Amino acid sequence: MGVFEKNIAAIEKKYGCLAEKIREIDVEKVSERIGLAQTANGMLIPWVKHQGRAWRLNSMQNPMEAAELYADRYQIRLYGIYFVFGFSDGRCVRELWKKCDDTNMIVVCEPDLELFAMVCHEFDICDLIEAGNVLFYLAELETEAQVVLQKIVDYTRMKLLEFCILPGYDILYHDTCEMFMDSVIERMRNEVINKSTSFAFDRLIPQHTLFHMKNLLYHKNLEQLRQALAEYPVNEIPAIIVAAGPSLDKNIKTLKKAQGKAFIMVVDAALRTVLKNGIRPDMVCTVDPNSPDRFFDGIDLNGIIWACTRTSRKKIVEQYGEDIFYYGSYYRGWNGTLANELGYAIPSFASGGSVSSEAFMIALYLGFRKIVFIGQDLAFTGGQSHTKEVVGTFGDNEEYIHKRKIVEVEGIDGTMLETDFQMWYYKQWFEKVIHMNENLIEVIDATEGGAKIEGTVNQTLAETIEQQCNREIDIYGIEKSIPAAFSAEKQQELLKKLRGLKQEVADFRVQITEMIGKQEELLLAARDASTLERELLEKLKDMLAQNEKISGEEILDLIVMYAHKEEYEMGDDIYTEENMSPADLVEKSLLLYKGYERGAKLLEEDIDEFIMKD
Amino acid sequence: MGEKELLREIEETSHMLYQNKEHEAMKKATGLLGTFQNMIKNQTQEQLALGGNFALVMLRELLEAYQNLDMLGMADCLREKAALFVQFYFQNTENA
Repeated sequence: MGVFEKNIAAIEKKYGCLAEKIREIDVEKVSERIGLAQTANGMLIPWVKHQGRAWRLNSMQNPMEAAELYADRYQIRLYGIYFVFGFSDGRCVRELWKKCDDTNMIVVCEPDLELFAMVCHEFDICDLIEAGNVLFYLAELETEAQVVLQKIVDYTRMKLLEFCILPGYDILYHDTCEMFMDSVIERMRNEVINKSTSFAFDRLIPQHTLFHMKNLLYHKNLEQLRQALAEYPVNEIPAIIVAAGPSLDKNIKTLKKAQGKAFIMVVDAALRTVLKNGIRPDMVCTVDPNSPDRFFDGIDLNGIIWACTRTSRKKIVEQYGEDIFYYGSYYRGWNGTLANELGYAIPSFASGGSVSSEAFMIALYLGFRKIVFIGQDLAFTGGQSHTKEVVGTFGDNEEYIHKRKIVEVEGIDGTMLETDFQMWYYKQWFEKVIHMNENLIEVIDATEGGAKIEGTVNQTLAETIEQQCNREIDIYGIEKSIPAAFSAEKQQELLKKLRGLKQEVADFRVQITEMIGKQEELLLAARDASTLERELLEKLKDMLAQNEKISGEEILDLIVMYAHKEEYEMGDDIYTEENMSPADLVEKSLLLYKGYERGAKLLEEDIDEFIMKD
Repeated sequence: MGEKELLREIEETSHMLYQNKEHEAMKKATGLLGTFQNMIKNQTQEQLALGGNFALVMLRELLEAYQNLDMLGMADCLREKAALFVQFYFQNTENA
């Protein structure tokens, strides 16, 4: 077997479709741009032509020594994760990898697929492809960097991330490099926000998750809607995202003209304003676990179609949720079971954390390519926080604004406006996603006020409707005609499976309790001066291996939602405190396991309440 | 700067360049470029003739890589041509 076949076989095993993409590349055809050069000591290295200049991607003098020097730059830490931008001939990555152990992970982001294909023809890189702690990420193939990063970057290891850029790559692939680094930073920021969210909502989110895991059996999902809409030219129909900014009061009346000619997606906070102006939304998105009652009280919500996910407030769904399209990730095992039954996965998106960013992602997922914002101020336009229908919902308007961490942003008219950190972050998120999809989507900001969102076209709603809404389509009718995802019989069958979760948690709790017993013994040994150091280290290694095994159990996804305090505490210091004694280490681990044990008990209680009851 | 010191500086700078330590390496490379320019300026006609165009070729290559922010190009040029130039320069200065 030649080098190429060997490499491809290894890639196929680990990355599936990537092998196919590489096979499709005819390296002869790209030889004007990419090639190999022979070095002074007879080795081969790759080069890439960029703006008429050939860039060698390793040393022409001694590529091996250059690679060793490169790897020497990095001091490898236990549990460290290294994001390497660029692969070149693989020598630098290999040297770095040699310094790592199985607590480390290397994520290689190669921005040039053709270059990677050529490297596969010439260099044996099987060792790196097959390595369990090396992950390849081909930027050209993975448009959703967040999906990949979600699996790698979590709070517990955030302080252990390091960026490594191979020489030349930051110049040759500048934009991709920046985008990759931004994606990792954004993921880290999301993890910090997740931590605050977990603390703020405590037991509410897991309770809502359990409730929705059962409730979704009786409703529809967004993939069904995507399939139904695929028969229509949705890419030419605008999706109007109605947010609850103060400018919504200026043009809400105009929105009625778009009814039946656009997909009107309303966020829950804007629902009052929309309904009071006689507009029927095609879909209402609600994600906040604490959506205020005032958003919904005293208005007729009959016939409303909702988009809900695991965080959506249970009470709202119980009271008004007669017709729901579900999306999102609930629990790995449950999403997997549903996907097996449905033949497709329930869609899940990496959104920007606000309900309007969820609505935006839903519109994109459904196939809409013309997105229109209204009420998307992302600033305190005219000193107001929200549309007048919801002002007061969050307390006194001025006091609400006063309490926020204020930053300034440029308004659509060039003046400076006040906003808060949260909305500033949402603005950044929209700008990034719009930029990433710039050749795919057109985004019109018809808010008629508020912050300037880079990448959008600014125009009035009246102009937008005149230009864009010229095709009749009854999306509401299409949605209503879609049946529940499962037949009554299937619903019963799946409910039985879901109820099996209770036993699964009980069994897992037994394992945790046993682990606690063992770790308590280990703690005594660690504190006992007569214990031999070698013996103790062996036991510690065993403990870490068992911890690793348990951390891979699917059921833990649910349990950690009840033990986030212990999880985050563990992340704050266990990997990063360099001078922890064995006893400290066991103590931390014990604390975490007691958190899991407590979490498992709470989860069992909530399963009784939200899943076992009829 | 004496020969040994200069060779050590070349070695350190090339290490940093291979390691893609852009900021520090570029600062050091700027310093070296200035030093080489002065050394070439100070060469006698005889020394220049002896070395042929080698010094100028080295300087041009280094400058080209420097202007393009090509770390590997600079590192290779320093290790190969610049180190040779420094040895040649000091040999001939001592003999002169």
